[in-house]
Amino acid sequence: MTVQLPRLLLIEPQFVLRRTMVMVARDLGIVDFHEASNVGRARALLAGDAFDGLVLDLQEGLAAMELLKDLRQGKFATPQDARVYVLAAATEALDDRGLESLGVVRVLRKPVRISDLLDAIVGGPEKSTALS
Amino acid sequence: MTPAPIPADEADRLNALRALLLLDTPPEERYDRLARFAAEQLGMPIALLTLVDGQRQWFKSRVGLEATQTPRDVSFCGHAIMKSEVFIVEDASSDPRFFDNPLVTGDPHIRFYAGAPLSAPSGHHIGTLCVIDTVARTLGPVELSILDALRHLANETLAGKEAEE
Repeated sequence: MTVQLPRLLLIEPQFVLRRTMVMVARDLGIVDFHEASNVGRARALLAGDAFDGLVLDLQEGLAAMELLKDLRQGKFATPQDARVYVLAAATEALDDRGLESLGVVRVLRKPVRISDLLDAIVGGPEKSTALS
Repeated sequence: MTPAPIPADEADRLNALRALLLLDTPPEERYDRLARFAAEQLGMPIALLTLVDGQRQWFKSRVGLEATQTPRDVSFCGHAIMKSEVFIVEDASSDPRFFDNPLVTGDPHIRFYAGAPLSAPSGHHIGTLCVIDTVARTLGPVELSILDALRHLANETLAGKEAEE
């Protein structure tokens, strides 16, 4: 029997982090990651395909937040209530309330351990208290 | 101490290594970022991208180590290139092959070693991406998978196939 892995879109500009996440998740049979190196490429993928969730790096700032808002307004093929995990630089000031209102499941600060991200995803869609 | 063995295909292996034109070249970010990432993700004080030359192992990238090369016979990577899978020594001080190795009894006081053999485009094992700790430890499945993924990226870089997008 083939196990259907969750299909997540990983939007991450750092090449080594992105590629390693994809390969490890595939190798361990945890997540079927699809990848985009920037928000523009992610929009093209989201327009034509439905994902179970997103891992979104906030490095692109407003563009990343706009993508998240558009997702919640149902502008993509992906369900508007899809799980979203956010990656953010350790020093980046975040609008915690804004992220929570946009249904972000969890914020992980960089440098992020791949094991921590996979644990968060495997942990399920429930809201985490780690949103900070 | 068991000296690093010499593979049966040593002459062809050295030809493949030298054809890459990497030995004794300056540091390059496309390799350094792999060693940095390995050290960061696996929580290791030392990470190296090594090339095993005829009489020495030379470090194309190094995190946490001042030396730029060591003799091949005492190198752990000389053992690692004999295998296809990741070569792991969990506690060198109690391993009969390494307990009296000068890299264990002296600087950098290796206790844990994990090296993923790197391949030239010809398939010959020309070096490793390795991580080292000064305390005995083990690697879990995620950490092993990360090291294997980074080995894959390093092989692509060696072959000039790495894509940024």
